[in-house]
Amino acid sequence: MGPVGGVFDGLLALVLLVLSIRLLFVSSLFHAVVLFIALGLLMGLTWVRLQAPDVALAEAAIGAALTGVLFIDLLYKLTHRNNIRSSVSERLIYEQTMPRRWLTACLSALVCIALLAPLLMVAAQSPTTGAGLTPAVSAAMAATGVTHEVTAVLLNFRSFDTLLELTVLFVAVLAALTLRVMDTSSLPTAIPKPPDPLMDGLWRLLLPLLVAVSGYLLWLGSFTSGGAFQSGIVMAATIILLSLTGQRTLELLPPLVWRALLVVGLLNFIVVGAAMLMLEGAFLQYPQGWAGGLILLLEVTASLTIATALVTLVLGLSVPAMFKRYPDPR
Amino acid sequence: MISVLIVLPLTAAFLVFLWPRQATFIGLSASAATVILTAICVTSVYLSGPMHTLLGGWSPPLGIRLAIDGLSALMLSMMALVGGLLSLFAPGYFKRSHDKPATITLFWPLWLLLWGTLNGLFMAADIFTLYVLMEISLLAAVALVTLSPSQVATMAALRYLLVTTTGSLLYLMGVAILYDAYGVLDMVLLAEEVQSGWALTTALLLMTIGLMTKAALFPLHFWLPPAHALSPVPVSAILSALFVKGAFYLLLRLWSALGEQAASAEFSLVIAMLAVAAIVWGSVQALRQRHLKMLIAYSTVAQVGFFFLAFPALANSHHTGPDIDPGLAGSAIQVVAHALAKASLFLAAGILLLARHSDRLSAMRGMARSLPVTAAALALAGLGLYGPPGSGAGLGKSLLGQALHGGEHGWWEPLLTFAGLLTITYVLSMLRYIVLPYRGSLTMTPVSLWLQAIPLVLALCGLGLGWFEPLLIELLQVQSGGTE
Amino acid sequence: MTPDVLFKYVAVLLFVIGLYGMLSQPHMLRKILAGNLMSVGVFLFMIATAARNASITADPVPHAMVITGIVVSISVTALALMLVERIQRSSKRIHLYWWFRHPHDRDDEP
Repeated sequence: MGPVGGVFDGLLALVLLVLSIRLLFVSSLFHAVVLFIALGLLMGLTWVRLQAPDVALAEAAIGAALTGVLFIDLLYKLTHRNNIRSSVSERLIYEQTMPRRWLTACLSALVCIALLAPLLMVAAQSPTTGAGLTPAVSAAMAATGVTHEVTAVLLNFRSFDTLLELTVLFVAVLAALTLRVMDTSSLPTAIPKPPDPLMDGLWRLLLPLLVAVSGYLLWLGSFTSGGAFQSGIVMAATIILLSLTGQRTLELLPPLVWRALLVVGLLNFIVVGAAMLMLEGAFLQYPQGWAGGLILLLEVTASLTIATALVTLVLGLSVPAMFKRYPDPR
Repeated sequence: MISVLIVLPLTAAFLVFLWPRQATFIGLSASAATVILTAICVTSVYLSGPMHTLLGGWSPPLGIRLAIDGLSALMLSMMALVGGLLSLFAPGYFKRSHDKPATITLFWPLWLLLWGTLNGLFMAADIFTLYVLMEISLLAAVALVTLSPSQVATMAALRYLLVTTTGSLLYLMGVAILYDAYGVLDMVLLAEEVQSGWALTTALLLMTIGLMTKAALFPLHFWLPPAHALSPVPVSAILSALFVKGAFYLLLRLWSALGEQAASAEFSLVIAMLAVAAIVWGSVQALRQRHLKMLIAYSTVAQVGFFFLAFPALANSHHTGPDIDPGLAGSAIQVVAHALAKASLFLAAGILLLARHSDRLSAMRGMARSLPVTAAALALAGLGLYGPPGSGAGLGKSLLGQALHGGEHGWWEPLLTFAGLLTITYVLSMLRYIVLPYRGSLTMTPVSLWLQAIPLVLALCGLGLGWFEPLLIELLQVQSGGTE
Repeated sequence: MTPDVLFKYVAVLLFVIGLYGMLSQPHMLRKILAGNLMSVGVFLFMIATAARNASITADPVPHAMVITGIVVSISVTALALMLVERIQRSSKRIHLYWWFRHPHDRDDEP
């Protein structure tokens, strides 16, 4: 891209570093969170600069938006619940004595410097040529049933990782549920928001559009950037936005439907995988010619599970009622 | 076929989540099926050599390979034996303890997820898949700790989550560096590709620190005692007996695959010193505890030190040929013996909690008379931790000693003896309460004999392991020859 | 300096800055932010690896790994924040120490 690109990259790198240092040491926690969201957006830009549009899509939605919502939501709760002025709960306060603080800082700095030196050497000496697995992926693309490489890796070559990744989301939801069900203290009730005609109008316009976008992304995945993750994330973001404007969303679902949505992607993976194990001899080994269809089938359910899990995780803090419906054993 | 060892417990976990009312039925059936399947796989490895499968039908470097050799088979058997007995214990325990009724419906899916992913850790050969598996097991473990509603336990859970996540990220950075330098993720392919240099050294350093955090080697052990001691008893047993072993096993695998090219002599010396420090620190702290569960948790810190003696043993051995390295074998057998003894101790502590509603050491007074079966289990499991000759831990220790012997470091032998003495000291300081008479009136809730028998069986298995020496060595000899 | 090498340096620095925050900052939320910073560092390193050959298309395998990593990272963050909220609600604690005992910690509570 020539000198302009070089200067741009240099500036981007500098801003990333400045932001990251600022966000750790800025005294107000709220500022730190805002800086973190800014960092996420700049990371999205960096992914595009490094030819990773799929990652940019995921980062912009998850890394910046959803993580940001989580942090801000929690900060809001903490400051309001404790009825403490922000200066106390947010700011950098120390409960420990000076020598201990210094000792901690020095020890941490020592560890970090000891690790930084070899890491910088690695960056300096890392090979500048070498195509990694690109040739191997290109050579095998014809048999994958899709034309987009990242989708091929996620849902064919390393489809097992994707099953495990859905399992990570599932475990996180289960952990959140455990935390809620085991919680003996009384939960603060959410404050109902008054209906807002402007928001409602906006929603009637935006909702169909966002649903269409998420479906389109899913379909797009088989030949260009997009796919189950991006689609699931957009779907989740839509529902979360809807919920933030005061609409009731996920809590309207019957409990069994909610649980079914959370496992449908996983069970579909397992049913397909087990069928392939019997037919073809290896877990998730797609038969010749069937790969494209099976991948689409897996992606549709996976995106539903991803969307439900993300919404549950993000709204879990603000909509505790969602978790109060896990039945007791017989 | 072997992929089912991961997928079956996971599927059961999803089904329990879908139908929580059937939790115990689904959970017990899945446990039984997993135990049977593990037995079939291990027998097959023993009789006809290593097994492997290519997930998705793609061979590495594109695909992910699962493989079982002798060492994996031994670890899988440990999972099945301890896991199976724990699955029998847990429903009975939760029914009698004063936990919420929902506890059991949450325990089952989390425990099954942990079982499946630990099985995966012992089989997967792809370093990135291993990362994802570690994260699942970590989140499940944290959730299991929060099954205890106390606020201190929640704090322990957060600390646990943050520490082990940092460990995971250090590991993941190592993965990124290895992929950057060699372009493959499969451990066998990596072993063929690696050359000594900054990339390899740094990656191994980061991965080792990361995994040491997860395995709780001194001085990175600080998160372990509260997390292990404050969770409900079956969870403590799972974490201490099984979960810690995953990270240690992975470290052993990484170093035997990639370690030859790195500066392993210096590294092993550092590890040896940390291991010794862990043994001393863990034992001394165990001696100072007034609660049985806390004592058992600190004993895990000390025992982890014993496992890590495998690294100096491996570096010390000039062992060549098809036989298994005695250091590796000794360490593996010790890991299994510890799993059995530790599970037994924690479950026995659970019975004490059920009977006396306290796990203070003083609550153990009069146990020999009032809870003879559990008292016997505690005594035998304590013995199993120390490892007299002929027991499982004894066999592991003698193999380790054999491997450490003959090197240039002559100070190993007295050191091992000293460590053994420390172990027996804290075990005896705990056991003396069993025979001390109880002063005052003894209030006891009766506990069914069936529940009490489980820790006893575990302790006996740990002691009896030594008898199977030829069988164990023969199983461990089964080594895979590379990618097919 | 090609972009991939530049961003590898940035990645390494982000990772270490995050690690420093994780080790030294006592505030729970800052620790969680620092952990996210560490994972951003790792992801950037992977993507820089994938982008090093400007002449051919980027390597898709690290891209897939990073997408998986992002999902793992939000799962861990969400759970950690829920734990923080729970701890706050019952004890108003916001600090967490690795090596030192907290002034209010009692470690012999069963």
